Amino acid sequence: MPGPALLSMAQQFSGLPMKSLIGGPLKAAAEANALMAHTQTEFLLNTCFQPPAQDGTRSPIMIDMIIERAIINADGTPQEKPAQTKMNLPLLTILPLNSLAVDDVSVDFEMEVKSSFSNEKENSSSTEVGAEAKFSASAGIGPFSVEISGSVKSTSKTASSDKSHYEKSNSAKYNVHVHAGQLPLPQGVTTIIDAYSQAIQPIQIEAEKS
Amino acid sequence: MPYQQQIPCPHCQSVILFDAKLFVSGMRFRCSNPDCNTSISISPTSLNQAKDVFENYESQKQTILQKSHSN
Ligand SMILES: [Zn+2]
Repeated sequence: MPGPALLSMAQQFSGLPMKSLIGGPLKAAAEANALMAHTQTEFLLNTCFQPPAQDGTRSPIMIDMIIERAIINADGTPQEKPAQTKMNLPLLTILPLNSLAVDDVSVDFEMEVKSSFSNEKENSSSTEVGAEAKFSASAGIGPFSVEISGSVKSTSKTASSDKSHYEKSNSAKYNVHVHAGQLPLPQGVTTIIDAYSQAIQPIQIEAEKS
Repeated sequence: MPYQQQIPCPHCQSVILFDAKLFVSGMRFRCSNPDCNTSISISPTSLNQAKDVFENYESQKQTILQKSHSN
């Protein structure tokens, strides 16, 4: 008896939508990145910059900083009161800026393909014959007589079995893990922050002569 | 991670390393140049503003990171 044809391993896998299994999470990660970048930019523009001027430019919000310098006297002893100066610094420069982005996407796909087919055929037949009949006959020739008796017994038994067994299992496990982390700032952003920092110009508000 | 940020020293242009969280709580940070006796801190007039922005920024960062984590 022919069993169902088994699918080859290649056939089993060719039906999988690999493009969406892998592409889907990656597309979602790219969209998440765009959203994170947008949210961060909005926040920085709204909290670290003045509202846009008529020409659309924004100036950074400045905070006041206090610089203290210990003054050393000619004899090497420090003066009791240090010189104090003031300067302005863009608020942006003191924030621990990091780019937030998806830094890891892993797609785990596990598939188990199990197919088996077995055909067991068992034929057994046993025949038992036991016919039972009783007969008797008698014949006589002259003074002699013959008597014949006998018995015949017959039984018949036939058994036959045919087993076939087919097993197929497909199991699939699909795991997508997305992790977002803090990445170093792009070069362009660090250049802007450096430019702000380099422009630091202290203004002396109080000083003591050494 | 403390002292992960830096600004140039207004006096000698060496690096002043600072931790933003401590900075916005009023702490003073010294210039890394041992011959320069300069230290810097946020003025009390700007401290609240700086602290608010820092805390909002950090909490927003955490929210974004938590939202984007999936399993
Ligand atoms: Zn210095």
